[in-house]
Amino acid sequence: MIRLESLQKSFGDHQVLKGITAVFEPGKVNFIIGKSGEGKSVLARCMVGLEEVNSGNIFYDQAEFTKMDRWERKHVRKDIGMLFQGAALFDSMTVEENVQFPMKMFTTMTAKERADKTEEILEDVGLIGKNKLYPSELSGGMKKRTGLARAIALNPKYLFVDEPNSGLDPVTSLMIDKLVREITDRYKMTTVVISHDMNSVIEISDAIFFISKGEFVWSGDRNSILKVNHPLLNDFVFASQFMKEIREKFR
Amino acid sequence: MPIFTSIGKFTELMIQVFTKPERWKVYPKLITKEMDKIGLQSVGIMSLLVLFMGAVVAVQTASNIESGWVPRWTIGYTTRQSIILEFSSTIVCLIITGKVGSNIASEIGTMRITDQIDALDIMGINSASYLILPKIIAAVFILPFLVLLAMFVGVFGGGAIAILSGVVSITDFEAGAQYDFRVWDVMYSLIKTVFFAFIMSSVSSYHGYYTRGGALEVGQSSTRAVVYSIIIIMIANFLLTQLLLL
Repeated sequence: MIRLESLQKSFGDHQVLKGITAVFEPGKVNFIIGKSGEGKSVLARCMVGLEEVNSGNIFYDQAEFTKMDRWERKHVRKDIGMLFQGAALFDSMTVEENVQFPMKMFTTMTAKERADKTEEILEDVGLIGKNKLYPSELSGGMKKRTGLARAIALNPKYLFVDEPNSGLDPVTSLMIDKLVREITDRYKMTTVVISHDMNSVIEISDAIFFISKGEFVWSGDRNSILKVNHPLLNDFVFASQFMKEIREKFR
Repeated sequence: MPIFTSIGKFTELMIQVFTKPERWKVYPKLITKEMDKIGLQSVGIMSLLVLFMGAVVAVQTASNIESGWVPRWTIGYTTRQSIILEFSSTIVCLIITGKVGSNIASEIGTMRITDQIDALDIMGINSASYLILPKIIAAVFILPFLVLLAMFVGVFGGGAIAILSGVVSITDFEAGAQYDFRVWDVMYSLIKTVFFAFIMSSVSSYHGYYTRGGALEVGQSSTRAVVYSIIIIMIANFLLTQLLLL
């Protein structure tokens, strides 16, 4: 479980996060949605410790992340996996080396054990046989799958996924969404997805948090998001003609 | 003052770089790889440049000796001293800075803008140490060897060209090259090289590590890395010369 309490973050005079409070349950796919520039990515960066909050607390289970120093955080970080928007694969390493990297750095596994574990994970994400390819040789979807494989290499308890579908076609997007869902269910992770893709939200979300101007102004699930009467949320959810038509059908 | 901010950020980064790394075991491989990139892959270009530097010094010295009172072996002596004291260390390090410094800054800068450094940090890896420490160790270790090679190629290669082109006889050049040889001169040059190697690798890494933005900014970081490294190397050269030779 991840718990946020009154998170505030400013850059100079510009306050980006204005008292974010939320609980992300384990075994669930939690979506943080909102328009660009509303604070989604800053919130995610604060949650994983890439940015420091000005005030408020972040708890990973019982551990108070915000109060920890760099060395104490290392123990929590080993339980965090993250898939970046651009996958952030290490260019100089093959698919296999990327996946094995956290194992090499943090475990005492032998080369054979690492290889077996890598095969297992690559099978999970559908990348069997691509072990020796470099990131420059991979398609967008394959990069995301490799990024996901690396993120789950150490069986993390918390998985962060930043814009999983950006730059992908609808079929590949759906494949990545299902993969996130399957991995969350299989490993009982607390998954937090940052997205503005309503297809993903409808497809795989368990809990949804809508951020606007640095605050969570609505939270609920995928059934309620289509029915709720909230002007800001409605503007966001039903921005496209496709979603407007869905709303009409619901009515 | 931006300069003090930069010095503060640089110091902070270096403290992070020299903090105990996660796993020493992975470092030897990284350091070897960097030694190859920084040192071995620069041998060709360095040898070629220093060879002609030696030749030019020999020819210029020969062309400036008009008086019959100045012996011809001065050509060998001047070539050796110029190459050992200044060209092998300072000029070779400037050349390496142009080639390797920009490469270091753009490599780390690209990792920054593509979130690869964030990925390391999230995993709990000290990204500064993992990325920068192997480069600094490799540069500090391999550049003195490169400079020793430069001394050899510069003096003997340059001399050979001068002899073959007829500006000096082999006997005169040999006599001059051996005259009043002091090991301290070589040591002085190697001590300078260690400092220059640290400056080049750390300043270039600093500019790469704090890159923000996109491809354009990576290019700018790369240029800044070379410019600042060269300026700091030249200032350090003056200070070290004062300290070691006077």
